[in-house]
Amino acid sequence: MVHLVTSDNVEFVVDKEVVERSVLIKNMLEDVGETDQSIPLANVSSAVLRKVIEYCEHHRGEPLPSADADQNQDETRKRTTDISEWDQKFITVDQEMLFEIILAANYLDIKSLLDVGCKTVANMIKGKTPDEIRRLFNIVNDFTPEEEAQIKKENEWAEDR
Amino acid sequence: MQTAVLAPNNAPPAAAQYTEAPGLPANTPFNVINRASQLQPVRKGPINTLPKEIILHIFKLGASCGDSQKRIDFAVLVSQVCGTWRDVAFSCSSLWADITITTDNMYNVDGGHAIVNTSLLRAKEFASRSRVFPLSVRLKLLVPPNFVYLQIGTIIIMNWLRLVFPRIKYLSIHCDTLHIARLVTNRLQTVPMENLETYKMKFGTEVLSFCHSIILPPDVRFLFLAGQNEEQTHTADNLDLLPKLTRVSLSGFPVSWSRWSLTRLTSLSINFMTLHDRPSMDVLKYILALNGETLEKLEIQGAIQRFGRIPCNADELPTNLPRLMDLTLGYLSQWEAIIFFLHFEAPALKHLKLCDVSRSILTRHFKDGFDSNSLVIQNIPALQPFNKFSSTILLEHLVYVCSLLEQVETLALEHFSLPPLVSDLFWQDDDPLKHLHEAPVFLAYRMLQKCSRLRRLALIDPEQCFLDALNMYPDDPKTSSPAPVLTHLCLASSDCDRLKLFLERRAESLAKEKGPRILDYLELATAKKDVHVLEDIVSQHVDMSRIAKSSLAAEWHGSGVLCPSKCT
Repeated sequence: MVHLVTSDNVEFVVDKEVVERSVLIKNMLEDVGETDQSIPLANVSSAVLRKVIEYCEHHRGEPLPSADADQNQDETRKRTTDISEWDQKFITVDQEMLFEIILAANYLDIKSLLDVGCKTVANMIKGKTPDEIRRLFNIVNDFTPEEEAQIKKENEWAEDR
Repeated sequence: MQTAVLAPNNAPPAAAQYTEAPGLPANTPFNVINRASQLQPVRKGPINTLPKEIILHIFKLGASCGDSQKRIDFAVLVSQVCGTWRDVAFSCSSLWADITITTDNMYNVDGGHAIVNTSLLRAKEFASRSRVFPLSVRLKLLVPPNFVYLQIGTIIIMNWLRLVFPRIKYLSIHCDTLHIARLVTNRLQTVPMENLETYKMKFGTEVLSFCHSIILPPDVRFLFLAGQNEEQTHTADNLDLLPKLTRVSLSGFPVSWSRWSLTRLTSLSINFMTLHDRPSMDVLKYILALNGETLEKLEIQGAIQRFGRIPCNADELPTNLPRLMDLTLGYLSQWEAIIFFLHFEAPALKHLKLCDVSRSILTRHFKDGFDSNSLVIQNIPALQPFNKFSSTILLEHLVYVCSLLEQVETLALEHFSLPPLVSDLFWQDDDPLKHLHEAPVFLAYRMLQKCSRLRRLALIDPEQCFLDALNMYPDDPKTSSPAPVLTHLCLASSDCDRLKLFLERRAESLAKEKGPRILDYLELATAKKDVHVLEDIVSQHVDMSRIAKSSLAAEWHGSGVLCPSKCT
């Protein structure tokens, strides 16, 4: 079992097979060997780690994505934005938690969870106008007048397909 | 217990940063607490606090769908939200690597000295934004409503395209007039495209291939595959010009078959050739033999000569395609398919799709029901009313003569039709189940039995006999072997009641713990107007969890949308 301590000082005891879905932790454990020491995760709160562990538990035993998958464009194309039914339910959280999970997945190097979170955001973007996206994510339109003029020209491209 | 260390830059570390974190000399004994505490903390908050690497990852995933137009739309969309997103999008060359150029709305600019349209302007901008990234280019050179500039517009498009030819990895061209086809191929034939891997050419529409033949003057043959020119055909020419080309798809495009020089293809599609332009069986054997050592995927639909030669010489061995794993065969007459199976052998074949192309095309054009009185049908001799279509002899050949089905792991049957049987092969069959079921049901079941390695099955517009056969199981497995255990099943039918009946019978069989086992995945598809009916059936009338571990009820778009090998 592996002991993890979150930023809000909560300790989790997790099965090694589960926690090793995190490449970060897997590498640490490989470097230091068996240890009773707790691993501090200063960047992850207990609420987020609970979700991350739930994800890792569900996907326990599944093969980890290959390290060079990103290098292959065809592989990237194959990934698409499809999300499995369980993952969809899992990631149905408020925006703040969604971004925290993405950051934690990136920090802990859990590629499949990072993809689930990023696909969810991509799906939220699709089919909306730029203005709707700004409202959804509370983004300020900071384009200069020159950029606005260029964007207006770009939108004429959509006329011919 | 908390050991967090604040860092001036609170961007989240990626794995690579972790290994390169300062203050961790290689010879320092690793200590878990020290190691973890030196990682920089991440900042939290709304989306614009995400690091650019993650925003970029989101963009790449959002633009990773199979539809090129959706990829283009997504890239443009995210670049118009805010300055940060625009910077991130522009930093990613791959987001802009899809280029589609049409001949629509060409207009004069610069006092009549130039002709452009918005798709060409966009292409130029995308080519610039994608920098040196390999390009996917789609040309839709179709006759527009106002075709004043069609020819000159195409010349301008092809002239500009020369600038990016060395970067093109994927090229797809669709045109519908011979002079444009000739113009394009003339421009392409001497141009080196050292990065081209996939090349697709489509002429006209699928239905057109049934209507008439394109009789070309001798000098208007499609030259691209033939080398530098008609007179001097050198295989080496194409290998030099297209050293990476491994995937070719031709649909309705007139080809100089006898001058074919492409080798080393891994994927080849020859579809919907007019009756005049179909390669003879000898030419087809020559082409496939040229690529035999590399060919893994082959698709031939509506492109085999209808009255091809049946090998009658005992010394004539079938052409061996040792690496072929994936075969799609579409036929107008079932004899076309049978003749193909007599001429070729594919010991590595795992995925097979058989399609009655005439019925599938008709279904696409008459989604609300087949109308045999339609002028379109009456004027096209090759298209007969449904009750004249038959795949019975083909299926009998596969079950009783050919051994191909024994090695197949994935099978798709599209618009397969089994009218009453008359063959001696069938009547000689002494399986006891034959006397308990109607002939089509028994033959369909025999097919399943023969597919001993089958795991994934897709039936597009299946007749009732196939659905009945899926729920059959012999009372005594010693006298009649059971059908293989499927893991994935896709059924598409416009008849919701038929699907409902299948589900009910399946549930009954499973409840008796006899015959079929629970599937890993079941996909059901029907016409758009009936999808809600199908969803009601699935959610209210049948306990799907007892039939499949996961399932999907979806809209059926007409033809060929389901592929069991793609089910996940």
